Amino acid sequence: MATKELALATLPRKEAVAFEEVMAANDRMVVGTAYRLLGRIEDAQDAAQEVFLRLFKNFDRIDGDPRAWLYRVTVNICNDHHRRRTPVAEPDESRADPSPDPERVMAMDERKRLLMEGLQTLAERERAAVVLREFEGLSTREVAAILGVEEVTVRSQISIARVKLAKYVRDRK
Amino acid sequence: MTCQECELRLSLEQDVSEHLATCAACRALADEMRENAAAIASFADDPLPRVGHRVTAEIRAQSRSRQIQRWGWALAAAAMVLVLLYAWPRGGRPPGPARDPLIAYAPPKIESAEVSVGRPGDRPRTRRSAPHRKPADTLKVKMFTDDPDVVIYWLVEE
Ligand SMILES: [Zn+2]
Repeated sequence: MATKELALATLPRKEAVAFEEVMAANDRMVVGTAYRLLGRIEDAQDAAQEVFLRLFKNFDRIDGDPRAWLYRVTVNICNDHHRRRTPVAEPDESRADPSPDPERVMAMDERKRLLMEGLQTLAERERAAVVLREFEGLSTREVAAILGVEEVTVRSQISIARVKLAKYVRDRK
Repeated sequence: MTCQECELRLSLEQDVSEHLATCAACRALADEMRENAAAIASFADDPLPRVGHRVTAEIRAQSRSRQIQRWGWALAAAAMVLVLLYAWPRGGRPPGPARDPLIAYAPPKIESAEVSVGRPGDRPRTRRSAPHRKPADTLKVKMFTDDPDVVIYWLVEE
């Protein structure tokens, strides 16, 4: 029914069907990427909606696999959201345990929560690189193409992000 | 190898087993990185909300508001055309049906009259007054025009 209405709206029926297929196939990927980049699920849904509305407007101009386009637009929109936000507070060092116990096993959920928090403290480029490479599982080459940087830059950003995230979690155990 | 070098090599997934064997801090950091990697991998199984229905609803709403806007403009344009049709003078002619030209008629000449009141019982008598000037005193020139009904008289006083 939705497809029929979309076809009535702006796109010819065939393209409306194709658009809905692309959206269904990439819905989770866009929402997930936006969630890692923004840290709040409501913001991620807003950003993902913006991404797909932009896809709808540019649908006839996208050739082949739209995944790279979707990742690039998602990163750009989330970066814009981030910049409009009130600055993220610096990691609260007072919360860090002065004598962390390295043997203590941390619950997986708690680690994931801390990782989501830690992502928000990274630099914009580091966050985008680590989300696409580690969370989304793209190759370094794909990440470099999406972000428009050299592969060596991506490797360096991911390396820095890994250390920062490890220390962020360690200091909050 | 310093701890800083070890951190870098750890993050690049290079072998630092020799340093880790002697450094508890770096060993702890290496553990964090390994556990973080496992946690990051498990994000893939987490449920996530979908936005497809929201997007479809938004496209429909935007399309509807565009249609309403288009209709609004069309109606405004139609109203403007109607206003112009009624207000614009047609073909440059004055509005309304053509009227006959006004003809001014000279009032009839009233000759001065004098009423004398006599004694009671007498019939009232009127007496026509004499013209102010004798015709003989005026030279009359008659001129004909293109219109056979119009003749111009010049009265020249002597
Ligand atoms: Zn060390």
